[in-house]
Amino acid sequence: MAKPVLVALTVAPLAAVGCDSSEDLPTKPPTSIAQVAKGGFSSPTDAVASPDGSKFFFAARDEMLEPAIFVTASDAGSTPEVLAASTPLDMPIGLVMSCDGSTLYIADMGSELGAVLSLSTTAGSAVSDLGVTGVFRPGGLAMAKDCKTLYMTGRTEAGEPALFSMSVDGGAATVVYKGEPLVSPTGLHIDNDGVSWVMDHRAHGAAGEGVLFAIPADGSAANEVVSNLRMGTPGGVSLTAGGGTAVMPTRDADGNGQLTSVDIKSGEMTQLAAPSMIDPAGLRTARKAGVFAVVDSEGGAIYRAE
Amino acid sequence: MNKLYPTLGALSVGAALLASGGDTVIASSHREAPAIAEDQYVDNTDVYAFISPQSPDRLVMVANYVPLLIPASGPNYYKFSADARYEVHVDNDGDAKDDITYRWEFKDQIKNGNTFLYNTGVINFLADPDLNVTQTYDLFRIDEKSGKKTRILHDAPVAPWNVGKRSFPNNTYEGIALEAVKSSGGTSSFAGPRDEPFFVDLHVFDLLGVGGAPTTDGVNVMSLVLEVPITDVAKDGKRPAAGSADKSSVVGIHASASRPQVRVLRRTRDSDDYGNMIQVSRLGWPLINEVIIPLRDKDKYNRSQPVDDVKNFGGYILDPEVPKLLNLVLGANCPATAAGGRTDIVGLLSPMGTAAADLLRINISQDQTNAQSHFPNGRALADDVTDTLLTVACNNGAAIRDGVNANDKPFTATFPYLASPASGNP
Repeated sequence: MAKPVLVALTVAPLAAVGCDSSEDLPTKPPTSIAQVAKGGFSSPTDAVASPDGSKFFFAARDEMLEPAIFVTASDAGSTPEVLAASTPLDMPIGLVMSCDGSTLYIADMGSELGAVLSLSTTAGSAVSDLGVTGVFRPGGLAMAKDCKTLYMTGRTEAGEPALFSMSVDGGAATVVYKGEPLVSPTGLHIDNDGVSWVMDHRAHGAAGEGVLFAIPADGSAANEVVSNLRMGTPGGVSLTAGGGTAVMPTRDADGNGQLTSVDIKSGEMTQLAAPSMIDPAGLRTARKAGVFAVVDSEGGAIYRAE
Repeated sequence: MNKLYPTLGALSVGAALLASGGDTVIASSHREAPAIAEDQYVDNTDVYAFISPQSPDRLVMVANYVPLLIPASGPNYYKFSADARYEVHVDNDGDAKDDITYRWEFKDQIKNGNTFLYNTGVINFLADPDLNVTQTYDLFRIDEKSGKKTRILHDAPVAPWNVGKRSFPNNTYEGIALEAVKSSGGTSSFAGPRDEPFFVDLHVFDLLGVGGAPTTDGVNVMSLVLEVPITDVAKDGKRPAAGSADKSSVVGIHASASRPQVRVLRRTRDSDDYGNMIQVSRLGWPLINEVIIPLRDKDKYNRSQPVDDVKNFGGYILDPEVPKLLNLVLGANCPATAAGGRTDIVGLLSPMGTAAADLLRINISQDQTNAQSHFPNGRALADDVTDTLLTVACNNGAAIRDGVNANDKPFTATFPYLASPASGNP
């Protein structure tokens, strides 16, 4: 059961950031969470839902501990199947779905510099390297409203934490924002106004470590939205339709798993307890259904929240 | 003797006076768990806390890391890990949860990458350009309740390794090392190598057979030393009145080290770190993880938080393995563990009604002085905790002495109090 716990903790002035106007995303924060799949894989890092929410795609290790992309029905008790495994996958850590649901984009931190990969959601497809340049160790991925532009968190060649954009066709990445106050950005969501919502494990905000930042489309600032978030690795964030609420997998002060929802305007926070989750991490919404896919990276399980 | 701990206090005195009931020793927390033994630079070895001998209004906290360092360990001498987070935590309201955290974050510097030498000439001062390999650190104080993070020191220098007489001729090392003592806002700080202050006979791990060999003599350790106004760590910034019996009259201290959750090793360049910081080592009392926690849970102990100690490890404290081993191997005649278990040890871990946890608790009331700072009311550098704890572990029966009763080097009366590290080429 959702429970309001705190009001207006550290909400930044939102004149500087945007509000989402999408009708596709879930309209309200989740009020229930249930395990979808566990077993046959380990250490999942991120999960995305198909546009209608009927399937979840997730990155994890297969039974041979090889990096793999899995697909599973989003119903409780589903059995995942391997969609692709091994090279060029190395350490897939962030996923996002194309708008039409036909392609997965994969941020892979492995290999020598990291890579952004693509994979058709059709069984039997091969993983392709988009050959992106200018971004190192990509972590979080998000799809822009135009369905042609990917945003990602990662590092510049000089090692600075940064937010990038690039074409879904690959090529050179453009730096949108870099440097402080970002420290270790991971999960990412971009709303229809082009505002990037960035989770950062190690940034220290007004209330403590673990910060959700909002970066306007022009990259003019990284505004702290809420801090003292005990997030898993990688951090995950999605906004509900209208951009009213940010939903993030976190742990409470005693280490118990939960989904934290923050009303962007009021700062009111609500918690949905998920006590069976050990390290709740990557979280994504379906584009056209009120469904959130969530991973438990340490527990080795996939969850559905709605 | 501090009246808070009558049972242990009496035993401690007894241990010093009585003849040995059996000689054995153990190391405080050096390489004590399987996982941390593979990650030496973040292995927390000992924690000390005492009222400053120079000012009764100040508290000294020492957190040592990186165990059993051979002085002649070049060319890459020991240091702190630049990828890790080192912390000292203070509970000031008795709930076994952090209220104040001091955090060290280190950076490496190499002036000249075209040589294998740590130093390229005689070192005459700390900023000497011939000191080729250096470290600096930022020191933060975090108020865990408000989330406020204050940087106390920025790019403060770490003391160099005591390479040897050619690099530091004419016994100049210690004076140069003490240039690394820095102060800001009432906090004094030192980071760098020191003589290992814990005195033990590590032959104990050869089937408990010992002969009082001072096996840690002549080895070094990496030390973090802080001296702060007591009001900086006291609840609400107020030092409790003399004789206070409130929970806040004692603060509970432990140290930890954390590493990033994900490390990606590269074939052609340095590794990348990613994600959360995960605790890999911690320590409050000496010897808890070393000899109370069994192998199957030692790594879990290092990952866990003190507030969960009773839930996670309470059974091991109530019915420790040590007295059985002492009887079996050494015939120490330790009494059988009392029915209901060692609730007295639990009591020692929860003075003044604080939550039981592996925290080094020290009374900070206004009547406390350095003379009263002896384990388990804090821990002084010279405290022979091995004698004390083995006697307690022997179910308060025969006094157990380890045969090693003091450090090989005297401690100093001035900050940072630990002895100068052994030279790599004396």
